[in-house]
Amino acid sequence: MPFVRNGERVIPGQKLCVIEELTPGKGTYEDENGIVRAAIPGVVRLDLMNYVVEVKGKSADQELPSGKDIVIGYVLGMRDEVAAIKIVKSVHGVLKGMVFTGALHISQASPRGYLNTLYDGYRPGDIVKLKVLSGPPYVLSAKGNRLGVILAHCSNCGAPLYLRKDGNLKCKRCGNTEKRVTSVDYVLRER
Amino acid sequence: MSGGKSPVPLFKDGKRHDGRGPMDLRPIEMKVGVLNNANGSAWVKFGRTEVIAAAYGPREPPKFMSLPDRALLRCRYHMAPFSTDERKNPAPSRREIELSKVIREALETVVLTHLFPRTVIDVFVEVIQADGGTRTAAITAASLALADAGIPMKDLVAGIAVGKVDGHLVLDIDQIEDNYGEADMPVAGAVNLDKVVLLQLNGSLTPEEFNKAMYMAWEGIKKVYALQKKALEEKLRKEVNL
Amino acid sequence: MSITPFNVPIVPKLKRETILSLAKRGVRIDKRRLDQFRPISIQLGAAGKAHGSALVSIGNTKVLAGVKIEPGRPFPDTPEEGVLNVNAELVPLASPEFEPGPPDENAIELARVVDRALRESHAIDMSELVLIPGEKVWVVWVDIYVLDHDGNLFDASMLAAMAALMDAKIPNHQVLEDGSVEILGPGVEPLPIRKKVVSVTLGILGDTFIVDPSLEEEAVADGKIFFAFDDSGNIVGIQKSGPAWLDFKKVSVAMEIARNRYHNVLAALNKAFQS
Repeated sequence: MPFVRNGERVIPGQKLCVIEELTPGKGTYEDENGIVRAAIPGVVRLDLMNYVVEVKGKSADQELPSGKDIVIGYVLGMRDEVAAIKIVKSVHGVLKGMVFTGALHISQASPRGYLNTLYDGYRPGDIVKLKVLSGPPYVLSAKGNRLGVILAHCSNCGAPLYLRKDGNLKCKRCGNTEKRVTSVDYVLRER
Repeated sequence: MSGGKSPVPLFKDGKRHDGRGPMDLRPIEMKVGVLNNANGSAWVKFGRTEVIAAAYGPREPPKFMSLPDRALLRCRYHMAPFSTDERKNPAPSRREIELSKVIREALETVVLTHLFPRTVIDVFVEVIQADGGTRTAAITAASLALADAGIPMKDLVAGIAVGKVDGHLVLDIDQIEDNYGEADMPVAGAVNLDKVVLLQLNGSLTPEEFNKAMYMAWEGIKKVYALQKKALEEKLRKEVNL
Repeated sequence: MSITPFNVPIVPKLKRETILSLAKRGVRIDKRRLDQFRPISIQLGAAGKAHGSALVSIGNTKVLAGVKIEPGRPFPDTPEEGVLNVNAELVPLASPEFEPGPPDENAIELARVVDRALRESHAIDMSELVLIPGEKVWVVWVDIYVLDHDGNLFDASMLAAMAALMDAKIPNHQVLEDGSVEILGPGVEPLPIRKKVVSVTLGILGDTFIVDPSLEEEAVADGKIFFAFDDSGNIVGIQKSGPAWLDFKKVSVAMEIARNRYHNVLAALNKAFQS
């Protein structure tokens, strides 16, 4: 019999069951004596169908971006072949205090075809939506649905750029036209 | 233990200078989730000793500072300039540097750092008011802050100091008992796992006194742990029903 | 801010399994018993200009401690007591891991651990180090210099500091009428030593304790625990160091192991002062 009931509130270190009863799931660990214990504060979930015990609660390892997660960040700096992206938001919300940089390589920079140089599709300061391939240190990709630049600013005057129907970006202040790898979710559109 | 004579009798008729018995703790208060920006935070008060701890991360480590198999832990124990009787220089003292190290090493035994390779987890503790037992209050608060941040841990860490005043062993010493007593032994432990994670002794004890002091410390640690549990459960209750 | 060490020596890590499995069988990589010290030697007066000094070797670990005794002001809260200052330097010549610069957390911890054991045991009667009460006292500086690091710096430094203090002579001096102190030359009067303090440090290897861990053993150990004893067997200092934990019930076992060995260190100290 597990030491706890389904739905019971537990805190780190508390005994849940012995390893022979249920396998340790998320938010738990097995100690050196084969006892499964809570690793985070939360609520016990006894999954008797699959023989798994979990603790549901705020857990840093689930909030941290991981493979296939979609993240939002901005281009910190770039060269022809690789850009450094500051990741500020993941599917789990704003990464409060968990800020990371990721790398976007030219081979992963465009959903279709390829770019001669990253500058053909990105500029420093652009806000981007990308997919996590691995990490940390994070490797990012724009290959996938709705990925790419979601907001860019004019290289001349710094005003926000509007997406035109032809796919180019236009500056309403100085009239400059620029190209980006834009996402379907680009936020400013010219009507 | 700076020597000199205490202005008040430290132990008289089985009572201490503040009226406590040898095994009595000071009034203890704990609150979890007291700061908005940190991933996790806690406020802990032992009598007039008051500390705030915050945990950040896991986050990106500085360049060339990471381990391939686990997270680095960074810890700073710091006393606010106004926390002491005379203003304390805010620059880290040798004492604060040493305590940051022993607190970090204690926390490192329980944090499941292997879940976060190539990252860093930060724990900051500020002493708001110092009245003895600041390092044990600090580690108690630090482990609450880590739990609040959802950083997986093998167990919480609770701390308490045992002292010796006028030849008597007493639990949870305050500033006066520390200054004029004969020994100060801070202990922190992971109660569920029966592990001692921090142990220091400043002062002189016979081996028999030492063994007794360890048992007293463990009794105190169990009480502190019970309060930690209550504080975390309170926070859980407030969060959305899972 | 204290950070998990990330520049750890790699080679000993590869020996971890060997060292651990040997320890389980009660032996060590250098053939010592689990509770056996390496050979200890003490050379007194190793630094001529110091008022007292000692060069201590424990195996290949070498630590030089020098004592300087100077007139100075007492602390305001202890106007009728001398002042003791302990400092430790992990000088770069001692190990490829030591770097020049101000003392890091390891050097500070080392100095403070030795300082506390000397201070809290009342090894020196500080009240006898007063020149003019409230005005002038002797300030005793103990500087610990690690010369060669092969593990167990705690015990080597503790022993070097204690031996240097016992070797020290208060300078010949006279107190002038204007309250200043004139140093006349080397003296003959020793410091008022009341207790001899020595320490025994145990490496923590899982459930096993090893006395006097070498550098290799320290690199694979989870941590260590330092016990200081005065010559009547009282415990006058403890420090758990490193990211190790101990079973609550094993703490008194560790203390007993250390207490069974402090005589060895004390004997080495006494022998140095016999000749």
